[in-house]
Amino acid sequence: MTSHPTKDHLEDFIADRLDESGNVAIIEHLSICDSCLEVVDQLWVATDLNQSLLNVPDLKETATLRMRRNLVHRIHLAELGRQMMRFAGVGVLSMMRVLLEPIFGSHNRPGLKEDHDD
Amino acid sequence: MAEADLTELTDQALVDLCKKRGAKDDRPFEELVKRHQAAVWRVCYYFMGDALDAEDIVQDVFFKAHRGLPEFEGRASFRTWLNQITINTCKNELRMRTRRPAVVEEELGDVREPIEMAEGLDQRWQGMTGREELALALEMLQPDQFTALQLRDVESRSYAEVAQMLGISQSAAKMRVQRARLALRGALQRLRDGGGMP
Repeated sequence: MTSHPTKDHLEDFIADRLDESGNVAIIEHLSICDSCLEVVDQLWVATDLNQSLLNVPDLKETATLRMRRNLVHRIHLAELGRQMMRFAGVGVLSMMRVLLEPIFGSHNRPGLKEDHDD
Repeated sequence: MAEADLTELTDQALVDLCKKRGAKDDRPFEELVKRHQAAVWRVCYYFMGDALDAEDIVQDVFFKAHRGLPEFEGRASFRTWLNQITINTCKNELRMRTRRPAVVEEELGDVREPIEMAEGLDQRWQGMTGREELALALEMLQPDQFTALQLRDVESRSYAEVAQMLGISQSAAKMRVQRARLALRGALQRLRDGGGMP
């Protein structure tokens, strides 16, 4: 689309009353024409649909702080849990090694070099 | 790096710092939370319709994001990735809530169940509030369209900022926002016509 679309045409575009080729032509034009883009943005801002997107209560500062504090606490707890599991795993392995070593002593394992006094 | 400097970094740079420093330094992730918390809360509110419920979900979303950060490859923008986690978390929560009473109903007998299920579906489409409709329609958008719409129309960012945050050119950002608006209108129309999800 080389010439500017009329305001009626842009209104039809905003209301999704154009066919796909009409939409494509307008979208391509808007990507290079800031004056038409401004008109479209103003038309869109006035729509009920845009108002419903904005119709959300304000997030209070106290709520944002509470969320962040709880989140940090939860992340730290999870990290602590992970570390405890890791320590527990290492502890269990060490314990098994201590308990099993007398039975399967390391000097009996094939491939290990034996210490000789001579 | 000082905390003031973190505010100047892009999302991707903060993600890289999080990966590099891991559990040793929370500040880069905290900066990401500060930056996107309000937007995530808003999406949760669309779905949950209650401020406190939305708060709980926000914590779940960022907790999952923190856990999933090592796998984030940056193919989409951080915000788009976060939006996907948000929508999935909200959907899972709503699904769990609708499942809970269903367990009780099963005990009442098999005969009642199909009738109640049919009523439930009917109510889902006929008695939907504007907010619920909007949440379902937003869910039907492509993730990058959803993010573009959110950045431009909800957060009133300039097209230059939208482009920078999505990692695309300005003209591509302008086109994406227009496409998103059309897609949202189309999705709402399909819901109102009773077509539901495609």
